[in-house]
Amino acid sequence: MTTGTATPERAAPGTAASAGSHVDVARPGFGWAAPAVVFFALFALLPMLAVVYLSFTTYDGLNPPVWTGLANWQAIGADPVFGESLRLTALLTVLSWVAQTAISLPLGVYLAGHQRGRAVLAAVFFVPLLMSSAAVAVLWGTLFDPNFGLASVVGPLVGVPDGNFVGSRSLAFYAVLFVVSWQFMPFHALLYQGAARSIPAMLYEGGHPGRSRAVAAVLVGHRAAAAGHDRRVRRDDRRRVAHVLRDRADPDQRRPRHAPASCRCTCTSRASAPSRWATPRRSRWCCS
Amino acid sequence: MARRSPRTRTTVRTALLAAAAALAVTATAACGTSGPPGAGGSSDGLALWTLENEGINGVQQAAIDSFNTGEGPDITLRTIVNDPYKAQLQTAIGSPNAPDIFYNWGGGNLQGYVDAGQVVDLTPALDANPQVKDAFLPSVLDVGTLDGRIYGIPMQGVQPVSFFYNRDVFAQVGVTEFPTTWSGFLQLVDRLTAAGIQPIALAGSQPWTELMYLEYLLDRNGGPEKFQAIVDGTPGAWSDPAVVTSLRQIQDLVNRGAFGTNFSAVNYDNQGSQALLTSGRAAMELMGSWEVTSLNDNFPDFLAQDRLGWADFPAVEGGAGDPANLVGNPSNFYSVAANSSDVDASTRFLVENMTSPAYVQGMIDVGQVPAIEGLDAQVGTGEFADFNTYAYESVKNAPAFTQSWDQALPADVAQTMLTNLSEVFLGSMTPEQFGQAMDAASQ
Repeated sequence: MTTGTATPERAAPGTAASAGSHVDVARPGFGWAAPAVVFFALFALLPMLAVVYLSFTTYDGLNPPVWTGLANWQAIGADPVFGESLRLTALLTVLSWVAQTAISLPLGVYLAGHQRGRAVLAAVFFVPLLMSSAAVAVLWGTLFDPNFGLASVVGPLVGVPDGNFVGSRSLAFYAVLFVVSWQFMPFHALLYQGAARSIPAMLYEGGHPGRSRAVAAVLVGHRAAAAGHDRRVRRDDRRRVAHVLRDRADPDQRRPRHAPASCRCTCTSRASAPSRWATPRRSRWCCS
Repeated sequence: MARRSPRTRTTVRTALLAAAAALAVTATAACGTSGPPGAGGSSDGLALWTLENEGINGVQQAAIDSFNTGEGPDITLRTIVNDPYKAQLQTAIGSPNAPDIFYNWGGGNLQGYVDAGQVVDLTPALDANPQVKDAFLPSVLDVGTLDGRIYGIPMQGVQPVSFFYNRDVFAQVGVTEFPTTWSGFLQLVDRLTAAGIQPIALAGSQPWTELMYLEYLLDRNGGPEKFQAIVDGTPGAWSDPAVVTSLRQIQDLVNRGAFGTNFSAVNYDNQGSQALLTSGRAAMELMGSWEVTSLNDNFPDFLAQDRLGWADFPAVEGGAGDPANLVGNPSNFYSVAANSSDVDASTRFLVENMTSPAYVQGMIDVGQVPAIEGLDAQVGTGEFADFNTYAYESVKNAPAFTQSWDQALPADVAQTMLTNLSEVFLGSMTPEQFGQAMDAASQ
């Protein structure tokens, strides 16, 4: 389907197949995902199912597995360490989210801008994510050394005179939380950066009082969309944005700050607002 | 429908990113157990699996080259890094990709394969070649011997554990000789603490370093039979009074401040404990013989200035164990896989080469101390002659050489033991609780 030889019958409905110079590309379907799905099924799904089967057996890797029914699952229920590890996992999940969101959100919004030096900073912020976990472990293992690492310098300042963070029952968890957050913050900042970039540029023009509210709505909308409330939130968003746009309907107010007074907007109809929302670009102005 | 909203595109991109991340994680995780390509089990050649080690691999390759010039099938050397080796071997053995000759740790590590019928009994081959069998140091060959049959042949150097100390620090507190008794050792600890020096560097974030204390103390208190009872699965062996006494002595050391306060955050692999020793902030460290080459790599000045001393683990007064007994890694071993395409040729390779003068000299040249009789003159040469002579004489004269417990015991029991032992070092588990927990775990 990549050449002009495609016949109209083969073109998927809804695509513009008339012009010969156009490449006919159907909406991505299952076929596009097939390689990834096969890979995922083979190397993730299948082993996972095998492990479910093995959980009902006892198996040393050498001799054939022996069916033991629910014995392993019952043992888990009776194991005090299992409950503790569940608790710590839940705690790590919640605290990671709190810590990472608090830092990634402002960082991502900042990185979505066009400030001087932004690209350089973005590259620097991104480094932790590019490091392999093994490298991160070596790096922080050395920094957390209680006698010669950063921990020996910082420890006495924060009430840990012997620098014992990773070897302490109460502090080790937070040391792990810190390193995990450090490593994955760039990833979340990247997501927020993408979300912030999809805010229509026109919302940033002029310092309208409703602007920050609209930006917040968009960001919240993007977060909620990821959580599965896509349609409802989007409709909600549009209403809020439309409301902001209505406030600014006066053509004089809609003129860019640097445009001469003689400029006229060519696309001021209220109806076009939602579509402009869908495809962010600057509104068109013609200056006579 | 041709155009899609930016929001949907973002969602798709996010989903793809997430999928890519998931695949990357899966792929990384899969590396640990992925099967090896080719190299094994084929009818036209034999595969030898060993650990990657720049110095030793060259000696192994030389032995293989000389074997390959002769009659019979050729051997191919395959080197694998340490961490995934055990998992890879376990996955491959018994499969068409299995090696013909494989590196192992003897003891409990080998026992699992023997029980599964995957290892060739080499006793007849060695009985037919007594000059080879008698060449090995008996305390080392014992570790490759299971239920009276020899399944593993020692293939590299011995690695006994001993104390390493900073001579300057000892001189600073006026001590010239390392104590030979436990009470003398405790006095030394107190003396160092009083002088404001941490007596012992301990890399407690890696519990195998803590295990060395229990290994030696149990041997000194009760003799090697106590650990043999543990290996044999004798009920209550972990709660033996000798085990409890040894753990009490450990907690006594901790309470005296022998290891400082932050030992559980110190790491061996990033030289955390070695830096304490060489900088003089700590006086000594209990470690395997690899400490010398490791210190030489990381702190060359420390060795060049002759500040490194070494000594046996002290005797415990009234204890049943011989103070000449050793713990550590007696050697590593080669075994022949039962489903090898040519068991005879594989066995012949081991019998002909493992004690050959060329192989032994090659090992000595790369800093190893082979477990072979009559090398007194040969090990006394080269860069680490003094220490190698000490290690060789110690092993040769040791009535018993107990293998590191984490190698001698089944992997799951060893892991539980290491976890519980760090609890004892941290004071959150009593010696009695340790015994009960380990007796339960060994059932």
